[in-house]
Amino acid sequence: MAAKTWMDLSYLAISIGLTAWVAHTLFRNGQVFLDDALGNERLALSVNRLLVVGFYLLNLGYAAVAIRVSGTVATATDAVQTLSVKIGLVLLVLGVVHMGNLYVLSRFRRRRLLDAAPPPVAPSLVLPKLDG
Amino acid sequence: MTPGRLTVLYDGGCPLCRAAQRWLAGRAQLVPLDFVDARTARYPGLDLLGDVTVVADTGAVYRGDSAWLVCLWALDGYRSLAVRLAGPRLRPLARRVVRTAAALRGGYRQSCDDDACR
Repeated sequence: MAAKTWMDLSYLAISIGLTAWVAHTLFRNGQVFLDDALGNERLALSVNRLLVVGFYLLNLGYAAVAIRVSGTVATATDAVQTLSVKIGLVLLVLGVVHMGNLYVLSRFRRRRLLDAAPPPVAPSLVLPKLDG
Repeated sequence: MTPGRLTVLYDGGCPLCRAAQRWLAGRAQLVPLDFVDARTARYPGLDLLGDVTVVADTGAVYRGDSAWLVCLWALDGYRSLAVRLAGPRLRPLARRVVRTAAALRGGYRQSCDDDACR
């Protein structure tokens, strides 16, 4: 097989493997964070699963679209370099999606904590009994 | 203990306080605010006309800048601002602003007794 075919196959295998590994890691380690962010374990589990599905779709979709190479890939060196750039891009996309996710969820979490927060100042005095 | 309801005692004889009351009443509230004109309210042992006062249903009484911060805390969308203003860096600023407003109010109030400015 030509160098380009090998490169494409490796690219797909690495992209799929990476996506699966990252999705699995996120699913396992994100559960506690989601529980805290959403305040409801069942909802958090559901959101976690949905996020993993979205994550697969987005990354595999991107990897599939980005498989095309514009220049020629004649030698093994060319193939390794091109593969590296492509995998790098997949990793960057994974990173950006992951950070965006964390940002949105941490906003949820902040909002939830704020909703339950007591007044930020101490009372000047406390009445023993309310009248009226 | 977190209050479930707050009574805001404001000076109905001062335009600034009435404007503040209208502003507060117009915002969405996470913790319901009840407004009572301090001239008609009676809480033994409290000078209600001197400073804006907030009495929580838990019996906690907040005065001056604390009262303002609790009001902001009770509003939807202003809670994070209240928490930030109550922090050690911004609290002195909040205190100065409220004190300045109270001084302005004192000036106004003298010419606005008996609802002359309503």
